[in-house]
Amino acid sequence: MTMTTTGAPDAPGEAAKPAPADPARARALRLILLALLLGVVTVTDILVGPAFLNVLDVLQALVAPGTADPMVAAVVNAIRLPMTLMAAIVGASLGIAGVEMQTILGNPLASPYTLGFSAAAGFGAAVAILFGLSLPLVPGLTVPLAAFAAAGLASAIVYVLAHWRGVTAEVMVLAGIATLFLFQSAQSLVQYMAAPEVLQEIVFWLFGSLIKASWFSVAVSGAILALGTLALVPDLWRLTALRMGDARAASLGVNVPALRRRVFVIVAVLTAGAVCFVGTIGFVGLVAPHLARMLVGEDQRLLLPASAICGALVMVGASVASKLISPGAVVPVGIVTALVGVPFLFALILTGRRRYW
Amino acid sequence: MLELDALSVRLGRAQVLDGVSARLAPGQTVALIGPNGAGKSTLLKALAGLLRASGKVRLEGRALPPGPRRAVAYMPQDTGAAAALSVLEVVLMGRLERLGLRVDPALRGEALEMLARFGLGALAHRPIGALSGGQRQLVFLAQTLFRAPKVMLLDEPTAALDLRHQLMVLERVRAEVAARAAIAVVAVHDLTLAARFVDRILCLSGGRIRADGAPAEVLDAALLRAVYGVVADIAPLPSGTLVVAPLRALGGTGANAAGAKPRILPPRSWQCCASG
Repeated sequence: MTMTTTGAPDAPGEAAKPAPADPARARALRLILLALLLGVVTVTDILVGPAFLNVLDVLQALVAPGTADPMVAAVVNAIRLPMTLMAAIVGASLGIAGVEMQTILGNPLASPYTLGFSAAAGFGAAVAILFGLSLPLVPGLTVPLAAFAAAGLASAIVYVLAHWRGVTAEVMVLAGIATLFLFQSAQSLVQYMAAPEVLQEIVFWLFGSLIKASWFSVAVSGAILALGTLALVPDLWRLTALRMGDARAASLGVNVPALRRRVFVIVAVLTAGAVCFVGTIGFVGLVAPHLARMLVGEDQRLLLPASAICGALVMVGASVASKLISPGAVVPVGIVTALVGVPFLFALILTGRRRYW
Repeated sequence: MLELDALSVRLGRAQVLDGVSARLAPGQTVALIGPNGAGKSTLLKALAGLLRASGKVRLEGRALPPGPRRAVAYMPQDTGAAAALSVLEVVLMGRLERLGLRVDPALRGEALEMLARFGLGALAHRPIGALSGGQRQLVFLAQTLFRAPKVMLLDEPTAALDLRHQLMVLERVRAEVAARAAIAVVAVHDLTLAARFVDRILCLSGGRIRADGAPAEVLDAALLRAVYGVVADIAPLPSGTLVVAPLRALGGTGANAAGAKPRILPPRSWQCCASG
């Protein structure tokens, strides 16, 4: 008896069915629609504010600043534009940091918060505020630099521990969680030691607020976002491969520990660049990657920009909401991000997108 | 020619591979057999450069450097995969080094052609996570073959497949090996299937090669008793294929009933860490 098979039979359990359409175009279309939605929300954010400016006047200040009311033009140029752009940049940075953190750690619950970067930034800022530190030439940059340096310290701790014990997801998550608790405790200690008026300032920073945004912070955080994104581009397919697991990615020629180290450093810088000016912003880095993955799938060529746009969308949407909750005032955006992001996530879960895209 | 020279792997205190040497010729499909924990997966990973091993591995006379090797494709046993990757994306990643922001249409065409060869054309745009275990195994085999490697290391590629697809997979592997004068090393548990498809069998036990040769030379009752601890009937069919029919396990009452002491190594602590 001989056993042979002929031709190319159907895959196991698969009846002959027509090939479904390539979803690449649909996914790209979703990305474009997402970008358009971000554009609409961004303009809305600029139009809304506690100064109760006329919407048409604000539009005129945006489109033709030379002919606009100087007061309106000044508010738009010095306050609203930097705040909105900062919201978009911070959201995009946290979205990218979140998706890459989830990728290198193979953990859907990972976010820039997981490894303690944000907690460390909060600690750095709290120390600078508590001791009234002031840099000689750039006093206004003292708190952001202290936050950036502390986030860098947290990432260095995780990096060194992972270097000693092996650059695996498990070691990095454990080291990160330990770092998170370390800096949260240190932050609480600083708050405990602070006088009431200083404590108020620290708590306000920790809430995360776009009020601190300026053209300078937009330029610095924007440059970090651009450089971080560019640094990730050569590794997009390797990061996609990593989603199949360490062993399979390694079998395809990916140097997994080196990739993990490289992306870890980029994520740390992106997170520090995002939170050092505006304070700790939660939730965006966790939810934006999930929204993006549901819409465009796992291919990092689409997932990376989609995560950036989703992050920016949640953040700018939160900025709009923060101005509408209490007319005439701006609620710290960090308080509102989850309020805006959770309905997005619920809507996508409830619409039954079980398989993603 | 793939040459293994005294290849050894130590994981913690356990010597998982212990001086494995062999020479595998181009065009050969080799089955790697042995009980669980024998070191099969470890040997495949060491050959793929994914485990630190002492000894030498040479391909066409040149020593292979440590780390992942372009000429060597390894297909792991695990078929778990992220839910949101499409089947086509998975196969394309077989040639990761050729992928950029834009995927070359010719490369994409080749990947679709490879899927069609496995009867997976209709699934090209489905998420890999939505496929059955058997379908995923075929997709990963398509990915491995898409790399067009000189050496294919396949860890139980037929484990989740039905009979028809087991035959299809091994026929496809043999065809690739013959067409490109490649070498395939396939870890398998089904000895009848191994006897039907391979040119040579390497039998591992306790991290060492216990038998090496053509299926008809290697597979006999004494070897199965010594290595696997089973009593088995082995009979050639008129087609020339060997059929291995395990009858009962030795050890405990089975071993006493058989009146023989199995030459099986005692369980080792590393068995939980190094599947194979």
